[in-house]
Amino acid sequence: MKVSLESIKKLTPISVPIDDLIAKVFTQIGAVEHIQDLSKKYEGTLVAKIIQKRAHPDSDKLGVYMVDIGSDTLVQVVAGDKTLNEGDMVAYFSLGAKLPYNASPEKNEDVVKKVKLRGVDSEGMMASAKELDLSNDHTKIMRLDTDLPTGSLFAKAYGMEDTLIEIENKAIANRADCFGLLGIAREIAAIQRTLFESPKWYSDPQTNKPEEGKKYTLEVDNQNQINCPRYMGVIIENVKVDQSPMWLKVELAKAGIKPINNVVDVTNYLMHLTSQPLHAFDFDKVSAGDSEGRGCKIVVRQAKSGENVLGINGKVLELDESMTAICDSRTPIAIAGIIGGAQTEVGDNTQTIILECANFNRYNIRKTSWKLGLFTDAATRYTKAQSPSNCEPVLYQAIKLISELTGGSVASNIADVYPEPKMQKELRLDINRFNKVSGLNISKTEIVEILKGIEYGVKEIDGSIKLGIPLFREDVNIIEDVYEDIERIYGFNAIEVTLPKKSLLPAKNNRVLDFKRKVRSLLASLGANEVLTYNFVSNNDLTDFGLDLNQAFHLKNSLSPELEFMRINLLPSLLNKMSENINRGYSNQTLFEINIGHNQTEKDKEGLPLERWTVALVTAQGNVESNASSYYDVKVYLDQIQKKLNLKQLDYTLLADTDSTSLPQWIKIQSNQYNMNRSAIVTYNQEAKKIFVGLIGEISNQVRYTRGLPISSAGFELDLEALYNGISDRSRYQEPSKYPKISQDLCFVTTKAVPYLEMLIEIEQVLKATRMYYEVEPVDIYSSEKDPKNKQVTFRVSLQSHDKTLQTQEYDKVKEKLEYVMNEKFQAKLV
Amino acid sequence: MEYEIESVKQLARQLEDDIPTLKLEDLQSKYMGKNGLLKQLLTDITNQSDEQKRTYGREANLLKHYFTERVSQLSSHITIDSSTEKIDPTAPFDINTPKANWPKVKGIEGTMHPLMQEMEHVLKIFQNMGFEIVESKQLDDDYHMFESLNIPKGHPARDIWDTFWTDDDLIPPAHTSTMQNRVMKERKPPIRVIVPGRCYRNEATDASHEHTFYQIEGVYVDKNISLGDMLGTIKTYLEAFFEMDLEIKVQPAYFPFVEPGCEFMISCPFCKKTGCSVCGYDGWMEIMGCGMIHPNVLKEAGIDPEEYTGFAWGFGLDRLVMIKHSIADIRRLHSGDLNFLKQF
Repeated sequence: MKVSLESIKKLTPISVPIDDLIAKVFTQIGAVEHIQDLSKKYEGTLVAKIIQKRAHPDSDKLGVYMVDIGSDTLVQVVAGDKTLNEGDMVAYFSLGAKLPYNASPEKNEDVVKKVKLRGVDSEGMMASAKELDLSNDHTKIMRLDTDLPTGSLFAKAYGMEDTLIEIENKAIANRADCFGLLGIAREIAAIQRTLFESPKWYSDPQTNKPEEGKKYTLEVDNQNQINCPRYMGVIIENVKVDQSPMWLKVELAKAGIKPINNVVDVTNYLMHLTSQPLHAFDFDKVSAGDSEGRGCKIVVRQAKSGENVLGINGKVLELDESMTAICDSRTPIAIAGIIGGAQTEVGDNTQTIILECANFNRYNIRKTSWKLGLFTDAATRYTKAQSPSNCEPVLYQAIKLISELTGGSVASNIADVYPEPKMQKELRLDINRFNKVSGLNISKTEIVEILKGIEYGVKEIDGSIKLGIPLFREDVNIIEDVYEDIERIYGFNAIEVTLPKKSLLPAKNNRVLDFKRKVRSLLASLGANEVLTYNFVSNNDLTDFGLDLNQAFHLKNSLSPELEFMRINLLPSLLNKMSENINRGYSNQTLFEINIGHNQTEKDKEGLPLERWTVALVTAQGNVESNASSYYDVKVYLDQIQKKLNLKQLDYTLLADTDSTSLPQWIKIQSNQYNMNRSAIVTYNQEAKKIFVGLIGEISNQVRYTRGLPISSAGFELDLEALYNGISDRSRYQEPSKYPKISQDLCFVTTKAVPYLEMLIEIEQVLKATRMYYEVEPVDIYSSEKDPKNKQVTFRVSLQSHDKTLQTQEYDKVKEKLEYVMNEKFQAKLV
Repeated sequence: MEYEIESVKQLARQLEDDIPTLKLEDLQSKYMGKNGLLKQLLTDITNQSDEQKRTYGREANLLKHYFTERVSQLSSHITIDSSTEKIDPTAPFDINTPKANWPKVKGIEGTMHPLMQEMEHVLKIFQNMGFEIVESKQLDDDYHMFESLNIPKGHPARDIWDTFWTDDDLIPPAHTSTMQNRVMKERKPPIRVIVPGRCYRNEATDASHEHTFYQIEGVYVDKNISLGDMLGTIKTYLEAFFEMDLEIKVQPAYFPFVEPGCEFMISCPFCKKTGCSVCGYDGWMEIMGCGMIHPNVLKEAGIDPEEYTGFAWGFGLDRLVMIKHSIADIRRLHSGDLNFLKQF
């Protein structure tokens, strides 16, 4: 909201220095986004008079003028406008001045210089309305009023010695009244703690009510009271459409509104002043529906689909049943509260107008506004919830100004369809509760003074205060809304800073979050780099990774096709980043992310998409010589998670050996991302139930090809909550022994089909039964070309007795037991 | 593969002719180069009619997918298919791997993401202050994102947030307040909860705007909670975070789920109000939005606003991280660039 402080001064005094005032606006009304000193903007702009006119010797389009700029000598100025006459008053940019139109503080634009135009010297420049930033008209030099002293400052002559402040719309988004200068003036009065009084025509419209006319009858048929709570209108005849007087143009320019003509300008001016939009129709272009032409009927109704309006913006606007239309006897002539139609637009030849001042439903306006993509000043104000009580004073004032400026007179009744007039709301204020909730300590007298200052009705009844909420305050509905007014005007910064009283009971710990933190810091300590990637992915980011588009949530309003789906799992995002980092020269890298994917199948207890936190990790080892599967490069990280975070024994089932129908949906849908012969499903057992943790392994050839990933690419994606629930309740701790250790490498030969882990578990069970301190670690897993079906697995088995030096015979007994068990279980031979 | 769209069909035919005849580099430049035929085909989607767009997009992408697959089969280093021999997934290393080549973790170059490090720092302070932590959601419904927060359907205040919507009318939340109703409904006062989470705004990205960012929300509800308590709680946290005494001030702001709503400002911790680039030479920094929880929001969560009052706040994490490390471009945070990540 752009606010001229000079305009405010016409409504309420400003008694503090401008800088202090702005600081107060900041802390008590809302953030000030922009401050502009207008006299700076018009620095070097003077009022000048054309003394002599000459033809340009070398151009048909240029005029040469001798101009009086208030100095001893005349200056010669060449202009692209030949229509100026001797005696015309103009605005003149002296040498060194900056053009107001481009006056943005960031840019250092060119200044006016002495130039030669087609061989003729030109000193300074005469201004078009556009160059003065007063309208879009750039076709001719703007004429000023003739009674101004030559050489005076343009800014002074036209009240431009002013400061404009722009209050952030977001901060006052609930304050419909503050989208008008009147509302802002009221607030500015309040923060200076002066009493504000709305102008009489606004607070007591009856005193400003014009005489009704008899020539025409204006009938209003409001068919939708919900979307149009109030509709007022009047017909004004003998209107002479012309340019607005300079004062009005200046007011509009300060508001950032381009002047158009004296009728439209009045409607815009009053909207900027009161926040209440108005619209004027050309009566003669409205289909009257009355054969004698003695009047006209305005119908407010829902549009029909197929109807359209050619807007004054020059675009054909298609309507539908949800939109509210203002219609004449035949068709829509405007879209309620949003934009008028070009067919009935007021133009230079307009003689009679219908002036509309109505109230429309904010929800309906917003919906229509979004559908049409039209966010006009009127729509913006209606969506903030205008009070229907505004219609009456604003219409009367508009009639008065239009009559004054155009010579028009009221030719009809003043129509007012307002079936359910709004009553003044009342609230009770309990001073004690207010002081308790705010942390302030304000006396009743002061509170009453504050509220009266912003035109609340205040009555004191047995200790409590009864408030009459001003009609223009649609935003005040509950007592807390009043608290806010008091706190703000008294000053938030006067509130004593305190801390809540609380018990010493500790807060409940979020253990899953703690576990995530541990996983994160463990993976980082192992050399992996944590990344964060977007939830939003492209079509290719799903299909290239073997995912089903129908499983992904699709955004209606994505920023780009690259970001149109919500990802299903994390691995593709990580592989994309891995590929980018390979191109940056990181052939050897390990990345991980802890985050969420979504799919269309799984729901949580609220019926919303299940949010499964997973940890995904990818690794690439560059161009390794070894033929070993990269599966193991990623498994070392999981082995560490299992060991360091004390998880139960995890089971690994080769993907190729898994019945995919037995897999949970989320695992199944991402299994295409892995090479099925070289990756595994991770599970553990809990109370005889198989708990699925996730997937681990080599990235499938297909996926690798699409992203140019090396053969060493591998990764995992694991359910964090499943991992967390797999924390073992038993410690792996063994009391160390002080006696010497006996270690031997034991090599077992068995078929390749026997899983390593099962052998290890059997060995550990035997060793555990000895009640000695034991260690077992792999030394070698080997298969010779001559015997490709079998493998030799060598373990280093160490034992230490807790109470004596262990003898070789005793060790051998354990070895025999191992030999027996391994043979029984796996037909494994000790060699 | 049979294509429905004529232009896709034609290009597919041409591609089949070119694959056996052209060299790899020529294929790449002809189809995927700067003005490559496939690239053109893909960008041409904008010229398709609305009803055709979906099919067109799918087919064009399929053809591109097919092209990449064929080309990568032709190119040398990645065409090596991984062996189809089954491995023993329970083993610690592959069969016949010499000890020198046993898999190893990468070592000491690991890092945690700077956003997560800062998050830890913040959460630890709040945990010490006695707050419970509940993580936010990444896909939520209209009720939690808007309605339960005193923003009914169609309310113009919704326009404050540039919200993404899925076809199913779900929302990647635009603020962590999406959890307010849940955390209040699931607990009895006194309620002290911190909600960290990812948020999303539908706005064009540049050096200082991201569509994905992190917020940290706080909710405090109990008997006799005042606006002064809100100021004190937030100030206490900020002083712990910046490890120094701060001056504070608030200015009015509008959020439909609080009354009053405020913008919380602190004296710039970097220049101590003398003016620096971080505070824009203003001496003050706007640090978060906050306010007293609106009675309608309390009611909606089953809390009697006559008996209890409370306050809430939310602030962004990304900017703090950027200031701390002098990161000039917010987009680095989600770039996944190791040149960036490895520095933390």
